[in-house]
This record gives sequence, structure tokens and C-alpha cells, in this order.
Amino acid sequence: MSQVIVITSGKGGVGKTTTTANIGTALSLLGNKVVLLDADIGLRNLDVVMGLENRIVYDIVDVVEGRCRVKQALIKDKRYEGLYLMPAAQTRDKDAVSPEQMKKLCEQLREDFDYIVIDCPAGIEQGFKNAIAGADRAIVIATPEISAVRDADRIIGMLEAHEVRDQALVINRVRMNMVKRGDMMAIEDVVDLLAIDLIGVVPDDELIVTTTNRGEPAVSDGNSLAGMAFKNIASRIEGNEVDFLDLDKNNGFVDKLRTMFGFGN
Amino acid sequence: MINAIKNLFGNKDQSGDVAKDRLQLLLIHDRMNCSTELLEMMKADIVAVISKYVDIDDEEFDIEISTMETDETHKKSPVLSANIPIKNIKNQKKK
Amino acid sequence: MDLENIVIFKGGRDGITVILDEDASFKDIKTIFIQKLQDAKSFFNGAKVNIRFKGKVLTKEQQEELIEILSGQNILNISFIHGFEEDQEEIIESNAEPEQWFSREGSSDASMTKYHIGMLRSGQSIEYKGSVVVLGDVNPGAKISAGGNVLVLGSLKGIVHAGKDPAAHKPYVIAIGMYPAQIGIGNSIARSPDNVYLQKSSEKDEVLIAYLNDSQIYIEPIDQKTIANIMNQ
Repeated sequence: MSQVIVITSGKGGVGKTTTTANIGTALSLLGNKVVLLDADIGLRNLDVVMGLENRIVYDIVDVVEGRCRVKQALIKDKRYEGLYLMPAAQTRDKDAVSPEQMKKLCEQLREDFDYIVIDCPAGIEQGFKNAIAGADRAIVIATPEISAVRDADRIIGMLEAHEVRDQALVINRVRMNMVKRGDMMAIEDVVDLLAIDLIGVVPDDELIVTTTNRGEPAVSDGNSLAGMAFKNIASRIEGNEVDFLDLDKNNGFVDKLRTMFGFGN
Repeated sequence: MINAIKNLFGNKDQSGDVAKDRLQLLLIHDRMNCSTELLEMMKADIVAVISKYVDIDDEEFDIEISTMETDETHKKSPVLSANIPIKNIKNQKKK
Repeated sequence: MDLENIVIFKGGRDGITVILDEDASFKDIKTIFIQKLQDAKSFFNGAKVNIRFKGKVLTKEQQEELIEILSGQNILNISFIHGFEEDQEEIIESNAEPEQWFSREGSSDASMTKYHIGMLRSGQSIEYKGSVVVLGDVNPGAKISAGGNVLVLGSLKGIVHAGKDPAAHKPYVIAIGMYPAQIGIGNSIARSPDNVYLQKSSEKDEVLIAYLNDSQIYIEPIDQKTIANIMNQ
């Protein structure tokens, strides 16, 4: 039974595209056939994050407008078995694909894939409504910042109104040292407020920037703590029970020294 | 000199530089709405057409999009340039 | 007189209006009501409808008897409209959540109650002439505006305004965990001094009541003494 998952957040810049790329790649590493669908039409980026920007010939708008077949617009990622990308159009705007067309496309993709992971545009306008139209479940991304949490709350309400009731929360870019100092909202506080299931906590990780620079998902880097967190999310999507990462372990050498000599934070 | 120092400290393959290179190429292609794969398809088509009239060196055939300053406005605009080495012009078999 | 006509079912845009004959006895009304309901059983089957009663003024006990009869059906809303209020159309907000409203004796707007089951999230709002009860949290960015009282069985972090109806008698706001970004009662408005997002809702959250005394909003733990104070103002 295939699943259509939309990655959404309301607020821009909280890591939707990175999350889509990483969760999708991690799901393919678990042996699934996965297609990443970029629904951010006009501002496509999933292709660059995946390092597949050179290979685009057709895009999602070409598919729904009948200029090519679904298979022609699918770019196979040669690095990962079973991973494909359907890019967004760069030169059209958000309403180039209607909710009905999106539903139809998702239904077609279901026939060949285990997971269809959709990168949703920021905002609550038509582009958002189009992107979620065919989704079975939503993964809501929030960073532990007031603006992001507030927008996530709004998005959860809108998802409910559009009958996407299966929702899970990913808290992205958590800085444990700031949380400890009380300078960042704590995980429990965010979960408490949003009151949906927590499916992952991803630490702020510089490696995300460097892997993205190279067009490689962080899950491919064994040293990346964020990559590890994304792999765990993929495993939880598959229905496995996985313990949450102990983010405190991420303390640097200096922190460890401090602890050793009794300079607590 | 600075580069030499950079190299010395193993900065040769900084991901920031990779990002810059990728982005430069990407933006040129975006402005033209044309990807490498599309370029490859264009190349194949051009080869097919030109081959009807001249023998060309497939291996050395180079096609790329870059930017060039226009004479009048001094604005940079994208240009498609192809470098097509000709082996020999086919003998016209008219008789 | 034809007993059939003492109870008339009339279908409308937003539900069914049941018109009760002003002169008939409650006993007769009840018998015919049950009979007609039986006849229309297939119509009610599984459907969610709004029902409102018009015409004969019923006592609270009688109203409850009718509600009891209806309780077997899938009825979404039940209301009683009497006398001169008959022509006042209630605006029923389109809302996917099930809701119920009953009028009480006196039946002024402020005494009607709207129930919202579930959380109220950022960007969502409830506006109602009567009182509002929310079974769930009211998150920052959500808004409740009520003619009467507001009760939140959860933590209140949004914007709330109670007692907008000048006829409302001693309006109040009750919440388990009172952290409103802004609270208004009657004509008075107060703002939270702190950032609502940084308020930790804890297990120890108290049930608090916000009320008006001399145009000032007071927030206190809800206990016998406070209630007595409010009522004796």
C-alpha cells in the first residue's frame, strides 16, 4: 500500500526541502521505491538540493498539461536504488497545477512507488492547497522559534480543514545548548502546544550546509547527526519504534572538558 | 598566493566553492530555462542535422551556454555557443 | 381540531423547524411529535440535522423531554425559539465540529451556548452572541469573541473577549491555564505582559476565572470565596 506524504510548514526557511530530500532518500535506503515530488512551482529547489539540476528535461507542469508522460519527467537518482525526482517547473506559477490534477498525478504515481514525498511551498495560499490535495498524511516541520511554531499551528488547522488528519511533527534545527540555557523553546513545549504526534527531532547541524552545497542528502554522510535523525524519521514512517537521539551527546570537546572540570552550563 | 595557502591548508575542495560553481551554472541555465540534459538533446539534434552536410568530430563537439556582454547595452545576456570541429566537407554527389 | 397539525415539521436551508401549536397541550404535542418522528425515521437515519422548535413556549422540563426523545437520532443542534424572537435568524457558523446549543429560560442571546470540541489553532476563530465553551486548548493566534461567558477546558493562550453583549450579566472567562495574549471583558481589555509562546503550560495549571470589577479585569483561582465575591459585587 503506497503512501503520499506531504512535507509542509507554513513558514518558509525552516527546512522543508532539506527534510523532503533526506526523508525520501532515507526511505529509499530502507529498500522502498520513492519519488520526490517538488510542488513548489516557480521556486523549485529540490533538484539542487538533490544535485539533480543538470538532468531536468520535463517537469510536473509538462506532465499535467500532457506534454510528456509521467515516466519521462521522472529523474532517476543513480546514487540510490529506487529513488526518483519529479521536478517543479521554474517558469510557471503556483496555480499551474490544480488540486484535481495533483490528486490524479498522485494516483498515477501510487501504481509504481511505495512512497510519494511532496515538497510543499511555503504559505497557505493556493500553492499549499494544490500540494496537499492528494496527500494521505502530512509531516509538519517547525523550528523551535515562535514564528515557526505559530505558522505550524495554522497549517495544522488548515490541514484538518482539508481532511488531512494524519499529521506528524518534525522539530528541525534544534540547538540543545540554547534549549538548556532557556534561550530556545523546549521540545516538550512545542509538542505540548501543537498537540500532534512527534515523529522526529533534528539537531542543527553544519554538515547539512556542506552536504547541500555538494548536492548530497545528509543521510549519505555517516557523521551527520541530522542525517541520523532523518534516517530515524524514515524508520518511524515505516512503522518502527526508534528511540529519539540523545542530542546532549553532541557536546563539543570543550563542553566535555567543561563538564569534566565541573563547569556546568 | 592566497590560493597556495588555501591549498596548503587543504581548502581545495571547500563545499562553499562547490556551491558557488553549481549555482553559477544553475543560474545561467535557469535564465534560459534550459538544463544540461536539454542541452545534450539539442546537441544530438544539431549533430544529426549538420552531419547530413559535413563530417564532424563528435568527440570534440562542444556546446554550452554562457553569458556575454552585448555591445550596445553592456548588459550580460546568455549566449549559446557551439564549437563544431569539421573533419571534411562531404563531396556533393551531384552528377 | 386536527391533532395532526399541532406539530408541523418544516425543512429549511439549515435544518428542520418544528412548529408547535400555541394552544395545544404538551401531552398532545408529545404524542404527535413521537408519532411524526417515527414516520420520518428513515429521513433521520444517519443524517446530522439541526432542529429548532418554534411556537408554543415550553418549560425547561418539557424541552428536556423533547431532547430526550430526539437523543436517539443523529441530531446536531437543537434550539428553542419563542415568541417575538421567532423571526430572528440565528447565524449558524459553518463548522465541521459537532456543536450543540440550548437556550435557557429567559432565552436572551447571551444565554445561548456554543460548544466547540477540539483545539482552536492559530488563525481559527469563534464568534458567537451567546457563551462559548471550548473543549481543548486555545492556541496563540486563535480568537474567541462571545456575547456572554467563555469557558476553556484547556489552556487559553489566544485572544479572548467575553461579555460583548451589553446585556450580559457579570460576564467571565474561565480557563485551565490562563495565559491569554489579550483578554477583554465587556469594555475592558488587558494584555499579557509576557510572550505567550514562552509560557510553559504545566501539570499544575490552575483553574482561573477572569472577571470584571469596576472596569478592572481580575484573574483569580476559582473557589467558593471568589465566586461569592463576584456574585455579591
